[in-house]
Amino acid sequence: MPNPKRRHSKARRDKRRAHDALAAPALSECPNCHEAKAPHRVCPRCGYYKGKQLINV
Amino acid sequence: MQHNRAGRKLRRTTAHRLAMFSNQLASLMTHERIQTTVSKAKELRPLAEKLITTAKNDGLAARRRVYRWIPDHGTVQKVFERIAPRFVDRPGGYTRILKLGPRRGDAAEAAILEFVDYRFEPKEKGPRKESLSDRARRMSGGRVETVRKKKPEGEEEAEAQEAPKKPSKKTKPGRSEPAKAAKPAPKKGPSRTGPSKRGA
Repeated sequence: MPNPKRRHSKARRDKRRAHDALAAPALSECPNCHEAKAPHRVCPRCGYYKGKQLINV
Repeated sequence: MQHNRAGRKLRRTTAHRLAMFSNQLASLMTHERIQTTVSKAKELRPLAEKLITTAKNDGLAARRRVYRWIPDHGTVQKVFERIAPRFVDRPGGYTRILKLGPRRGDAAEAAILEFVDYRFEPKEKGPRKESLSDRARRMSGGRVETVRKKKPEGEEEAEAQEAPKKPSKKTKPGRSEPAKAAKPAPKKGPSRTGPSKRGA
């Protein structure tokens, strides 16, 4: 079986991880309750999306 | 690469997938609004719209075409007589998909598929339904003591067995440590030595 010949240095390890950063979720403000919510989704707090729609809270 | 292969498999066999669509279409026509996932809603919408368009021109052939998807005569009748007439002036676009965000359980993107003229009526929230623990509290008139688990009960018994022995046979070898003796005691059989003086 092939095995690693050399230990990877910290620099190699960290360079590999340079693109692993997590992105913050995109959020928009609910026009009805002004809570942060996912864009293009029904507001999970007040149930509004272009007018009342869901049963919530 | 997925070229020239439209549609989602939804991790089902063809028969399973078609059966599911059939069920969902029947539910949509019955309830006018169904909650599902975004992927399923997107697959379902063209099917639902085609059924409505078919139902705009009533006739035996049209009814049979709709019946192929919705094998229930009552529901088919509703599609032709109560749903399709509402959309005679609308050239397609009878349904809409509302995205709800990740659902609890499997975090799948949930969605509602509904007819565009669906009228949602917000439900007034009534008083909270009495739960079983609420009921227990009411019946007992106040505090409810938590029922003790079985394990500590067995240990108590072992202690009770050990208690009368300790003062009398103190000098017996091997019985000097009550903590060690307490563990194998419950295996021999419960309370062979009778009730303890300490407990009474």
